[in-house]
This record gives sequence, C-alpha cells and structure tokens, in this order.
Amino acid sequence: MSDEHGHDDHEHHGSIAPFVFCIGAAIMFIGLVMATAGNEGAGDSGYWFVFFLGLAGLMTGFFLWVQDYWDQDSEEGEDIEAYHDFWSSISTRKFGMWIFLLTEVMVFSTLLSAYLRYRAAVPDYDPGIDCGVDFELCWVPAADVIRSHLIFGVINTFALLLSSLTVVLALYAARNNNPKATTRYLMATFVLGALFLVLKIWEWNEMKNYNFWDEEHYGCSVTKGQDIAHHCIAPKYADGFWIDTSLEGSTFYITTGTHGAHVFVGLIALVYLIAKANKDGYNEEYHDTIELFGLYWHYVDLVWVFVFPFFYLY
Amino acid sequence: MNKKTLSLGFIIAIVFAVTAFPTANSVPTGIADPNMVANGCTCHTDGIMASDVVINLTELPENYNVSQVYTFTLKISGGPEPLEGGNQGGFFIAASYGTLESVDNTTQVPEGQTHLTHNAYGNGQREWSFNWTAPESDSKVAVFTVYGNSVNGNAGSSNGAGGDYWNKAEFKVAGVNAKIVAEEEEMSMPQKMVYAFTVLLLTLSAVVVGNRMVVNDQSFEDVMKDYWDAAYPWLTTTDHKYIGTLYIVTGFAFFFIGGILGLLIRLQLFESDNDFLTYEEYNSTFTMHGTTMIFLAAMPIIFGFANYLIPLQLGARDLAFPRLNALSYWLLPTGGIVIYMGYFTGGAGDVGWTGYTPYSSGDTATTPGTDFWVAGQIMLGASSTLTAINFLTTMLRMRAPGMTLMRMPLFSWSIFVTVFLLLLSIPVFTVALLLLMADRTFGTLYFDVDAGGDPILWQHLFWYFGHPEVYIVILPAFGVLSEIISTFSRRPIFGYTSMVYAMATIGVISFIVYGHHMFTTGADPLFRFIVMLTTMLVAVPTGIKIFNWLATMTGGSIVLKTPMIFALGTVITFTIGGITGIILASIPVDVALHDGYFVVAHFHYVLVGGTIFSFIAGVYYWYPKMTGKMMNEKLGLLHFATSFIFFNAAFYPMHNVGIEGMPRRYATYDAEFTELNEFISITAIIFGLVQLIFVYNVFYSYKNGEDAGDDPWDGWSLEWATSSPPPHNSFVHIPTLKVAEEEHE
Amino acid sequence: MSLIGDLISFENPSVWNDFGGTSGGFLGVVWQMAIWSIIVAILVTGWMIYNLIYYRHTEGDPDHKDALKVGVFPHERGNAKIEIAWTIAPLILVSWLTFISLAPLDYLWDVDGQEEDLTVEVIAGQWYWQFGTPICSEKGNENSWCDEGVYQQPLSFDKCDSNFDCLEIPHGAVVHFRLTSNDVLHAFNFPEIGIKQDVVPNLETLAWLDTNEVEVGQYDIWCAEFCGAEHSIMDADIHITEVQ
Ligand code: HEA
Ligand code: HEA
Ligand code: CUA
Ligand SMILES: [Cu+2]
Repeated sequence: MSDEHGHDDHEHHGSIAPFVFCIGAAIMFIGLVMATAGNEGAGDSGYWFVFFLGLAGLMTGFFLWVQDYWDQDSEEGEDIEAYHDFWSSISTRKFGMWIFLLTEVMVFSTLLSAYLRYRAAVPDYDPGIDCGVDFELCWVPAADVIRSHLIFGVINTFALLLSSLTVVLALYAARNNNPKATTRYLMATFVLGALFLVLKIWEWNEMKNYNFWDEEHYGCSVTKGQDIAHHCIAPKYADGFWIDTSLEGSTFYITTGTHGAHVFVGLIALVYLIAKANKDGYNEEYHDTIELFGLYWHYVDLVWVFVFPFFYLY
Repeated sequence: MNKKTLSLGFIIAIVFAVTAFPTANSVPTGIADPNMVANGCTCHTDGIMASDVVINLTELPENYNVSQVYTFTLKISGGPEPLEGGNQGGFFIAASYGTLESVDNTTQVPEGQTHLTHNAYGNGQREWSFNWTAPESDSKVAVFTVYGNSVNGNAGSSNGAGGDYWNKAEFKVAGVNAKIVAEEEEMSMPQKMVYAFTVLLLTLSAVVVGNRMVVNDQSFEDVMKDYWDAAYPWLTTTDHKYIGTLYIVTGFAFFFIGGILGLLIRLQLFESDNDFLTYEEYNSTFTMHGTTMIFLAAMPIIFGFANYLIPLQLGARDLAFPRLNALSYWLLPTGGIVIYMGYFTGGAGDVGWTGYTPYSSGDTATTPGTDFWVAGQIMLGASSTLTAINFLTTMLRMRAPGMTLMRMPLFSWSIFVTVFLLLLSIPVFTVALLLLMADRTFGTLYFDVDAGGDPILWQHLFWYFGHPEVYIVILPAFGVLSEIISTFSRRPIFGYTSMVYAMATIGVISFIVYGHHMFTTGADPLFRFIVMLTTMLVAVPTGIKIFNWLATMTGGSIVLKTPMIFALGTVITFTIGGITGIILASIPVDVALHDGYFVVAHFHYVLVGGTIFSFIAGVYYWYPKMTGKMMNEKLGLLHFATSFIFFNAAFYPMHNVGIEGMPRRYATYDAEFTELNEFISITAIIFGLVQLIFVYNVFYSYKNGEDAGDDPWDGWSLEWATSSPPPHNSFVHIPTLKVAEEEHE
Repeated sequence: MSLIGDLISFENPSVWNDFGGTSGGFLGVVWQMAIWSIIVAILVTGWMIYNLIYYRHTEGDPDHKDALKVGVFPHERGNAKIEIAWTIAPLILVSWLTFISLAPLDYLWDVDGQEEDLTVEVIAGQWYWQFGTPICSEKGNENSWCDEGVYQQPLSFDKCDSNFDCLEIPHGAVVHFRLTSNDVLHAFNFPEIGIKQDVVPNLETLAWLDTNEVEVGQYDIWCAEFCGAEHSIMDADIHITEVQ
C-alpha cells in the first residue's frame, strides 16, 4: 500500500518468531507444572517430555528471531528518527535498554529486600542467645558456610569487574576500527563470565553436598557451635546447605541463582556477538550492539557488587 | 451449501465430542454419598473432607489369587486430636469384587449389604482388621473404596460432627492374570483430558474442513492453504494496528469468559446452601474470574487501545520495537491458556486473584491448578514488562514534530503514567510469583511458615504491585474519558496541565498506599495510619480530574452520542466507586467492612463502572477510526441504558449486603442475606445478557455501518488526521502538530 | 417491599450506631462517611445534570471560538483560582475524614492498654475454631466468675459441649482473644460488632470485645479471610451469657 504513495521508509517485516516462542513457552510451562506438581503433588515424570518439547519450541522461536539480525543486519528500532532534541541524543535501542535495566533494578530490589527483611527479623547466631538445638531459631548466614571458600567469591568478583573492563575495551576497539581486537576482547569477556559461572556452580555444589556438621570428622559439638575453621557451622546444615534447608538457603540460592541466570543470558548474547564480530566485524559505524550488551553486562556486574557483600560478607 | 448445514455439523460434532468426554470423579461402586450407606458415618454429615486425614490399607497383596482369603488392616491418621475416652474414628469400605468379612467385634457387614464398616465397639479406635475373599476370577481388578472418619469425640453436642474430618481413598489389587490389563487401563486424568480435547478439536476441524471441501469443491490442500493464508498475517504481524486489534479482541473474548464465570458465581449465590457448584469449584471460579478480568481482560483491552492509538496520536509509524510488541502480545493468549489449564487437570487455581500465602504456597490449594495459575501469571508479567519498556521508549523518542510532552493528548498521557507504574510494579509481582513457584515446585522456603518464613511477606510484595495495578487499569480509562468528554463538548479540556499533574500525582501516591489492603493483618499501627492518610489523599487528584471534566462541559456545546453518554455514565459510577474507596480507607470502618461485600461493591464500581465502561465508550468512539464504519446509534443507546440500569441494580445492593456483614469469597452464606443476593443474581445475569447487544452492534455495524470519514467526531488529536482505517504505515507523511495559539496569527 | 426495605435501611444496627462500641451516635465516623459521600455524589451528579440541561448542542449552533481542529493542539483553558479551590476543598474534607477516623483507633489499637477481665486463646485451623480455656486476669477478682485469677466457668454455662467451634463467655466483661493459626490465614470476624482480625500462623494477633456492648444471646463468629474449601462454613457459636 505504501508503494502507491511512493513513500516507503519503514516496511514492516512480519515475523513468526514471537508466536513460536510463546507457544513454546506455554508448552514448556505446562510440561513443567505437570511434571513437578501435577497429580497430587507427586508429578508425572512422563511430562518432562512435554517440557523439553516446549523448550525446543522456545529455542526455535529464539533462533528464528536471532536469525533475522544475523542475516539482514536488521536492527529493530535503529532507523527511527527523533524529532525532539532532548531525546535524540541516544539511540532508540539504547533507550529501551536503559528502561529494561530499570525493570531489572526492581527485580533485584525485590529479592534483596525480601532477604533483608528476613535478615532483620531473625536474630543472628550468638552464643549468648537460645538458638534451639539445631540452631533453627537463629540466622546462620550463608556467609558462614561459604567463608572457608570465600576465595571463590573474591575471584568471581574480580572476574566480573575485569569482564566489565574487557567489554569496554571491545567497544573501544570497535570504534577504532579494529575488528580483530574487538573479537578478542569479547572472547575474554566470555571466558571471564564463564569462569564466574563455573566457580559459582562449584561453590554451590560444595555447599550443597558438604557435610557441615560432621561429628566424627571434625569433632564438632553443639556447644562448640559456629566453629568456622573446622567446618562446624550449624547442626541445621548437617546434611549440607541447599535451597530447602532453611530460609538462609532459599534466599541465598535464589538471589545468587537469579544473578547467575543473568550472567548466563549474558554469555548467550556474547556467543552471538563473538560470532557476528567474526563474520562481519564491528567498526566505527556499527558497534551499537556491543554498547547495549555492555550496559547490560555492567548492570549484572553492579548487581554482583550488591549481592556479594550482602551474602558473602554480611 | 449454506451456513445452516455448517452450524448443524458444528453442533453434532460438539455433541459427539462431549459424549466422548471421559467423566471424572465417578465412584466405581456407585455410591456417591458415603454417609448414605455407611451408617457408621451418618452422624457426621457435616464433618469435613480433609486431605490431612490419611487412610492406609496395609497387607494388600501385589496380585490376588483366586478365592484366597486375605487379612487387611485399615488405619487412619491425622485429623483432630480426639478427646480423652471419646470416639475416635470410623470407616467404611466397599470392594468391587470379592467379599468382605468381619473378623472381630469391632466391625460389621450390615444386614443385606456388602460393604464393611465399624460398629459401636469399633468407634474408639483408628485401626481395624478384617478379611477379604478374592473373587473367582483372577483377571479382574478389585477396587476398594474407603472412607475414613477421624473424629474429635464431641459427639452428642449440638454440633457433634463439628471438627470431624473424613477422607476418601481408593486402592486397587489386580488378579494375577489382570496385571497387564490393569496397567493399560491406567490413564491419568490429565492424559484423558488431553486426549479428549484432541478428539474434540480433530472432530471439529474435520467437520469444518470437510464442509469447505464439499461446498467449494476444493482439494484438502487448497482448503488448508486458504486457512493458512488467512491466519499467517495475523500470526506474524508486527504492525501495531494489527497487534492492537488482536489485543482488543483477545481482551474482550476473555472479558466474556470472565463474565460467564462471574455469572456462575451469581448462580451459586442465588440462594444460600446452594449446591450448584462445590466449594472448591466456587473457589476456582472466583479466582479465575478475578484473574481473568484483571489480567486477561482489563489490561489487554488497555494495551490494545494503547497499541492502536499511541503511535497514531503521537504521529509515529509504529512502536519502537515492533517485534517485541508481537512477543508481548503472544505471551498473553498463551499465558491465558496456561492459567486455564487448571480446568483440564482437576480444578483451576483456587487461591483468589491475590494468591495469599501460606494458603497458596501450601498443599491445600488445588494442585496442579494453582501451579498453572502461577506459571501463567509469570508469562503475563513478562508480557506487561516488555510492553511497558516498548511504550515508554516510543513515547519519549518517537513523537512527531511539534508534539512536545505537554502537548500529548490526554489518553497518551494516561498511558505514559501507566507504563511508569507498570515498570516499577510488575517486576516485583513477577519475582514474587517466581518465588512462589520455587516454593511450590523446588522446595524453597520463602513463604513456608513452619520454617520461619514470614506469612505477611507475600502481602507486602503483592500489594506493592496490586495497588498500582488498580490505577494501571483506571488511569487509561481516565484518558479515554478525557478524550471523549472534550471532543463531545466541542471544546478543549479544562485544565489540561492540572489533568497531567493529577495523573502523575496519582501515580506517585499509588506506591505508598498499598497498606490499606492490610488493615486487619496485625501490621504496625504507624504503617496503617500512614497509609490511611495517603489513601485519603488520592481523592484530591482524582477529584481534580472529575471536576475538570465537568468544567469542560460547562459552557461547552455538548453532543450526546453513544460514546459521550457512556463516558458520562462512567463518571457517575466511577465517582460512586471512588467514594466507597474513601470510606474503606478509614481504618475503623475498614475493619468492619474488610473482606466483605462492601469491598466487592467498591471494586466492581471502579472496575466495571470505571474501566470497562470507559473502554466500551472507547470502542464506540474509536470504532469508526479502526474500521471506517460508524456504530449503530440506536443499539448503542439501548446498550447504554440497559447496562447502566442493570449494572447499578446488580452491584449497588452489594454495599448493603456488605454492611450487613456478609464476607466475600463465600460459597454459601447465612440465610438472612438470601433476598438481596437473589436480586443481585437476577440483575447481574440481565446485565451480562445485555452485553450481547454490544456484541451484535459490533458485528452488525461492521457490515452495515455508515462510512465514517477521517474525523467523524471532530476530534483534534493526530489519529483523526489519518484515514479511517489508517494506512499501512499509519501515516502517509509524518504529520506536524500545530498549536492553536499560533494558528490564529 | 422488604427488598426495598433492605435497600434503604441497613439492618446492622451495631455497625451503624455502635460501631465497634465507639463511634456511636449521629456524628460517628460511619454517619459522617455516609453524609459526606452523599453530598459529594449529589454535587457531581447535580453539576453534570446542570451541564446537560444548559449546554446541549443543538443543530446549527455556531462553532465555538476555541472549537477543536484536527491536528492542532487546542487552546489551553483553565482558571487557577477555581482549580485551586477544588484542590483545597477535597483536601480539607479528606483531612477531616482522616481526623475523625483517629478517635476510634484508640479503641481498636489500645488492646494492651485496655485492662481485661478474661483472656481466651483461639486457635484457627482448616477449618475449625478451637477455643482454649479462658483465663481471668488479676483484675478479674472483683467478678463473680473470676476467683483469685483463675477462671471458673459458672455452673450455668452449659451451652458448649466441646471447645471446638463453640465458646461461652460472660456478659459484662472485657474479653481478650489471643489469636493464632495452625495452618493458613484466617480472620476472626464478629460481624455484629464489626470486629475483624486476621489470624496468622507464626504470629499472635489480638482482638478484644467488651461484652457490655452486646446483648446476651448467641452470635456467630465467621472466618473472613479466604482459607480454602470450607472457608464459607468455618463458623463458631459464641454465647454471651448473663452471670448471676
Ligand atoms: C480500578 C480499580 C480501582 C480504583 C480506581 C480504586 C480506587 C480506590 N480504592 Fe480500591 N480496590 C480495588 C480497585 C480499585 N480501587 C480492588 C480491585 C480492591 C480489592 C482488592 C481485593 O482485595 O481483591 C480494592 C480495595 C480497596 C481497599 C481495601 C478494602 C479492603 O479490602 O478492606 C481500599 C481501602 O482503602 C480501597 C480504597 C480506594 C481508594 C481510596 C481509591 C481512590 O483512588 C478513589 C478516588 C476517587 C474518588 C474519591 C472519587 C472522585 C473524587 C471526588 C469527586 C472528589 C471529592 C471526593 C472526596 C473528597 C471524598 N480500595
Ligand atoms: C474488570 C474486572 C471485573 C469485572 C468486569 C467483573 C464483572 C463481574 N463480577 Fe467480578 N470480580 C473481580 C473483577 C471483575 N468482575 C475481581 C478482581 C474479583 C475478586 C476475585 C477474588 O476474590 O479473588 C471479583 C469478584 C466477584 C464476586 C465476589 C466473589 C466472592 O468474593 O465470593 C462477584 C459476586 O457476585 C462478582 C460478580 C461479577 C459479575 C456478576 C460481573 C459482571 O459484570 C459480568 C458481566 C459480563 C458478562 C456476563 C459478559 C458478557 C456475557 C455475554 C455477552 C454472554 C452472555 C452469557 C450468558 C448470560 C450465559 N465478581
Ligand atoms: Cu478460615 Cu476462611
Ligand atoms: Cu488499593
């Protein structure tokens, strides 16, 4: 129709990707619910099939979507003109990213405030107060379980901060028309992010499976209580420290887990960026996507700067 | 061939499919009411079915041998602590095959019966043994239906069965030769439902497709291709007008589904002690009604209008991220399907639209219905978040030349404030839902009171979102009213600037008033006092809006067409609803009225009489723009008159019922409320029926309506500057907004 | 007829007049709320009707000088004085309504300050009310049913056979209910007197009742917070009995 008027500056590209993605998501959720909670709480493991089917659909939708960018350089929202000076200084996509980050701020504020609420309501472990036989009345922070491995947390913090730097360097290299360096810096970012996740999973695994109340091994006793150096944390963690052990476990794993999921999403984005950098190369004009990713990555980094002290040091 | 044959085929297909449906809940022995036969239980008729009464039948063989005698032990546990020396329990067991036999003096097979039950001696215990003789064929599956009663021992009092708990269980023992058959028979309820629906859908499509093939003499491929060609543009569209239309249609479709659920509520409440629905079904019904109406009807209708109109009003070609917009849309119907899946798996979520923990995180809520409710809500939360991002970007960056922020039409402004509220509130709710899902599914303890979780935490998270949410659904309605009232008074809105500031103020205050839903929770008195104060303050900016509308009319030149009449009716009903809100904001009054029908009356006045009515007005107003046809005035007026009368007739009396003390979410009520409830039910059903006039009008006018032209109502905003319906890219040339002051010179 | 009667009279005199035993009389909170609501509603409706009578468009009316034109942002209209007036007026009104809501709050919140005669432990569960033995306070000594701080159920109290879903308490006493829940949220609702307090697991909440305010007789306790299948029939009898 627009051709008739000879004025075609924004042709709509239809896309089936959102539809496929959402159908996949629905099937995935249906499978998940039926597999875990259906049938009087027991769940029917046959439904995991449905779950994976849905997941496959969701991935298909996702790839269809990405493919568009991959093939055509089509950058949604890129060519939109702004008629009002104040708002035209940054691109539409960057604008969207900032607003998206605002919602992300709300996500982590919710998690952290729920955590702090519990933290304030339950007394911290102290030899002077009655914590119950299993210490169930006291807050024995995840920090005490982690402490012996605090080194992981420190390395991780470092890795993330460093990766924030490498992203900036990648962008800088792209602006200077140095596609090779861009690719390499992006890869460095990926490695650092992956390192973060690997250490994180390692740490979780140890916390989950470590026997923190091992009378024979460490000679722990209730009266000794919180003897960190000897892995005597609290009787309530006798079978390890996991999401269903205690409120400490739930808040710790859910918050760090959500953060970890954000890192993971970032890694997926990085895979795309690296591949794209390798194929077309980013350059002076065309580096917007790195910048957007950088914003997201800095944000994930920033969240860690909050999560780390709250859970590892406090 | 004609429509008649087609519809006949439809009906036959449906009837077939319905009869093919597996029926749920049938007791194999044919005994529907245990209390009828189990004379051991007759005195416990108002005992309570409870899942914490556990029934165990032990020493069951893996498979039985022909005519062999087995000794079983039946044990019940859980339920109330029995009083010392009082009665403790009773049971009833029936076997589909074989014979039951008493072996001691605590059990009996009543004269002429085949089932086994306790007798007076067996009353004081919770464990009984007895014999079962297997049938003569070993290719059968014997089903034992057991009712166990856990008694608190206060029998003989006026309410002897009060506090008694019973439960039902079924056990199966297959004969040695029946094993394989038995396993094949095993098909879970959800599987049956999935199959049934597949059958239903396949039958329907076969009929429809077959019909097309015969009628048009087409090949199967051609028919499919036709359908695909018709559907494909809708599935792939990223055009805001298409997506807007999809949103609006989906929203109204869900409005009708939710409305029918609302009428089911009213049918159940037609009289006290009604058994039209079971209590669980009733609870699912109002949960799904509330959830559907808020998240699947009101919000989609709003987003639909926003999608369609915001780019037009701002002079943009589309939203900033069209594909993201499509994603937001598709998350809506798919999320809706997930929420409704509960109905196909034995009962939809029954936690109320507020989903209070620890009920919703515990295991007495329906499973998996509640899990579906949570999962679907998460999808809807994601949808709204993405929409909000999209709109905010669009509105800040893509306005046409001349369209400064303070020259945006008021509908755009209302959406602007709304998306801010969404951005700050929806993620919180979505995270809360994720936590709830983690609790229910993966064993975290956020809301687990036994592990020391805070039972009120959910309420804080929910209402932090929930209160802004109600303004999310009312602010766009304000926007619609502003547009309509100004246009039909044929003059600019009075106090444009103060309208904008009023909306912004409402938006800001909305985040600090949520505690007014928690006056009775035992929260901190200071917290409660502060929220009472802030809640009252909302009346001020809202009042400014109402008065500005009225002042716009004063001195104007009022044209009374359907959109305007609907808008004015809305102003009245919304004002009533707002005032009752202020009444509820007063703590001492709220303590009496909280969780009662006065609250129900309040929020239906603002939701139906505010949001829904103004968006119906919006349909009358913008329909010409969207379709190029005018809607029928006569039908419109009839629709307004009947709606307005029966809306008030149905919902006004709820105030009275509430003041008299009837609590909400009650599947049955004290007989003293019967008369008013009957009246409400009848008028509510009529209110529902007259909405059919509207549906008819929409379709009728699409065919027969007069041509609308570009600007049928003489509105000023930019959507009226483009053609009706708007061209593919919305504007042939991006327009420039002019300003009246400069025009004159 | 009686339907219409129901619609115009509110058959809950205690809420209306004696709401919570506090805001009695014509100037109580409830009355004020009712009156101001009606005034505001009449004002809005009246103004609208006035507009509809006097400012209707008739065929052939000339266009207003600031009539709307498509694609043109219209003249801004407004009148600072009037707008400020209708900002201030509701502000004053709601301040007043907030203020009068404060007095009854003492009554609602001052649970601990109020000296009680009798304390009853209440446990709510799905779906029952369990009443613990009432205990008299120190102060209770003056009363015949309280002997040296221990509750002695008067012999005439025989209305309940068990402590489930049934409670008998003396008339003329200040009774405190200490509420807690076994499982999910419930709410202790005494509709006749407008008492409502959530019952929360892991938390003890309080409700109190001055049985002087209520006539002798049998009343219902309802559960007002959704708690599952039998929420609507989770009720208890409460007998208020005169003690000689
Ligand atoms: C569209 C939705 C919507 C809107 C706009 C409102 C608007 C308001 N609501 Fe409502 N509310 C709900 C939807 C809405 N509400 C829902 C769904 C619930 C129940 C949730 C649940 O539990 O399930 C609820 C519950 C609810 C409660 C809790 C009741 C309880 O559970 O005990 C309270 C208490 O304060 C309240 C107050 C208010 C107030 C003060 C306003 C104000 O914004 C109203 C302001 C408007 C006016 C006052 C009228 C116009 C003003 C004038 C003409 C000026 C002059 C007037 C005066 C000075 C009085 N609402
Ligand atoms: C936008 C929101 C919205 C809307 C429009 C409605 C509309 C209606 N609501 Fe609802 N309602 C809520 C939001 C809404 N409600 C919420 C949030 C709750 C709280 C839930 C909770 O407690 O968790 C609630 C709760 C609620 C209750 C209280 C239940 C309880 O607490 O026990 C009742 C009881 O009467 C009720 C009734 C109705 C009725 C009769 C309508 C009618 O207006 C509906 C009329 C519309 C139609 C009927 C559709 C048109 C149908 C056709 C054209 C087809 C005709 C078909 C036939 C007649 C068979 N609603
Ligand atoms: Cu207990 Cu509702
Ligand atoms: Cu609110």
